[in-house]
Amino acid sequence: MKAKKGLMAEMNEELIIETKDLCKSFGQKQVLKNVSLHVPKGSIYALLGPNGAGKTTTIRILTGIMKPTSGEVIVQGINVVENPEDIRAEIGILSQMSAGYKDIKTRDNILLFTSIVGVDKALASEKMVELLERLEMADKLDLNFGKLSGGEKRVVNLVRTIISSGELIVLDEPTTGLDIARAKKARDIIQELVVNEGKTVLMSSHITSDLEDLATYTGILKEGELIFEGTKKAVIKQFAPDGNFEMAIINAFENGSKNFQSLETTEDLLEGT
Amino acid sequence: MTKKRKQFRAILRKDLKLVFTWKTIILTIVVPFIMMFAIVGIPTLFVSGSNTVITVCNADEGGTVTHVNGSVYFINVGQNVLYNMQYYANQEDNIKIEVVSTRAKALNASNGIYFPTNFTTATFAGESVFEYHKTASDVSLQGYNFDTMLNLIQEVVFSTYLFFRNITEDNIPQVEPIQYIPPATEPSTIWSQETMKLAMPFAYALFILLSLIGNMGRTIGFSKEKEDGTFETMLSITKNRSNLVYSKLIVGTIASTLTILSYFAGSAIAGAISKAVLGQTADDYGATGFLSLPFRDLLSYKGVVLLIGLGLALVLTMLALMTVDTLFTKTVAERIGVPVILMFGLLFMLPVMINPGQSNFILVINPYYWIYHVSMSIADLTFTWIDGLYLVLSLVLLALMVLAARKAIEREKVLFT
Repeated sequence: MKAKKGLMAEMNEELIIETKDLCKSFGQKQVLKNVSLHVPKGSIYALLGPNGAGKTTTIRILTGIMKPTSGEVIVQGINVVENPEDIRAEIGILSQMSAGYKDIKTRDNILLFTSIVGVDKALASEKMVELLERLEMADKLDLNFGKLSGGEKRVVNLVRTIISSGELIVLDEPTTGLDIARAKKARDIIQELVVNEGKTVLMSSHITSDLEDLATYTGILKEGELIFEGTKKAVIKQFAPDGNFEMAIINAFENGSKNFQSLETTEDLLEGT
Repeated sequence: MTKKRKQFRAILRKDLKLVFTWKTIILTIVVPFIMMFAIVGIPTLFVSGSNTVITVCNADEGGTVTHVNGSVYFINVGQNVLYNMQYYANQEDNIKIEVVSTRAKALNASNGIYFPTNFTTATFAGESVFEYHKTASDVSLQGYNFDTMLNLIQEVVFSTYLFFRNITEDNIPQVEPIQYIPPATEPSTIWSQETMKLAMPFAYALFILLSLIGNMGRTIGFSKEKEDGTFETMLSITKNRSNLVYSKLIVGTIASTLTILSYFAGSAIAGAISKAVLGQTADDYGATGFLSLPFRDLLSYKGVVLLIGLGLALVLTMLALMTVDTLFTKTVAERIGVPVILMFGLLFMLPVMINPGQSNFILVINPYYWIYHVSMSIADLTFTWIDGLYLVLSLVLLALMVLAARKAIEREKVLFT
């Protein structure tokens, strides 16, 4: 049987992110163990895993915030380990924490960050208003960021990330704290980024409705190891053949391991693409 | 490279925007202004309520003086002055004249005046000399009352002389007051007495500004980014992370400059109010307190040197706070950064307050003292090798901290601090 980690690598799609045997240790603790990710261009890739599996560390390495202990990371053709400066400001990143300067207006919070990334102010303003209108928050533009609710702050962060992004957007828990209606709208916007603008989204989430609606590919991390990488259908086939996506994810988190393999071919893993 | 430069400008714009929020404007401009206004102005507005004791010894033996009409009088100018002082004191609730028998008792007391044995004869020989010892602060009631007494002495001497000599005011002799400083506390100063007048205002200004800068650092430094959760975002979108340090440093310097200017503006306006209320500022009679630095003096050579010295000290402080911010967690940085800076500020100010013209071991290892020493020497035009050494040490410390902050912000550990 062929090693599973090599199967995704064999597909013919152009990869926007590729890692090879990525390892990361903090002192004696190894948090990533030979992680080899393959994120195809123009896809929505869901990086999943229980708490402490290494998702945030992986995202930080991919975005040049942190250096790996060993391994290779190629993002948009840039060797991130050797040239982390080159990848910074090229990727739109939404971190877990809702970040923003409390004492300045929401409008300025978005435009200051987009200007640092190099987005034209007029373009950023236009896009900002359009997205906030869709997310029913245009009336909050002149409120100080500190006055917004948790969910509203999350929306502002999402909008800022979308405007700042180039080809690749990394979203860590994008819809956490959003009400159902806004979460749905946010998912639609993310989907459109891929379908209409050809962008790639790497996202991490614990909300299965996000993943079910959006994810094209799924990578599952557990205890620092990438135990699975494949399509949504392949996840179900692998971890809950008689169940649904949510059950498959729960099974993967609880019982999955690198050696738990039943799918044997690239076609199996890419089923449903 | 162009993209990095463009990004630096955007980061700088962002940091400037953060400075000019209402909260920061209050901390950097309004608070120093009100603080100085309160420290300098309020004491002069609320001068009543405490007593001033002026100790006088009149050793004047008097003498005979012939009036212009031919009559011969025996007069004692010292005694006349004392009568007038007592008359004045009787009209005022909070001023008391205590007469003592010896020069030592008068001049060792707080606010003492001594008239020598030949005061009358010297007055009519055109050489009036008396001694005084003033310890009261210039902005206190005691200081103000004491100076009123000095003016009274001059008035009595002048009027006595005019009465006997029938001459115009233009021809009357000048009285020479000699300020007495007890030998035990007389300092051997490095700088001239004129420059020494800058010492206390410099020390006070620096300490007060240091106590404000802790809050300012928290508002515009990396602590604020950490508190708002924007630190990781900034790290992920900034191509050259050193730009984050440089930008904060530039903005910190601008904010510090505004703080210094508002500090002195507060002082100057309070001084103007003092002048309106009391009729004169301490500067008018050559005092050495806060009011000896009115705003106009800041435009002089010494004033500019003083401001640059204060600016350098504040840049050093901002940089120290930023370096600590990048090396430690927000909580640890707040617990370590500000208290350590205040400790250095206190260890600088207290010895300087006791004796502004001397140095000791505690002072020579304090960077604020290095800057103070260099500023005073440049102001005094007495720059020596030790000033050169202090200047080099200050610049090396600045460079080391820039380097440490730059290195720290490039390390991934910064994410977890």
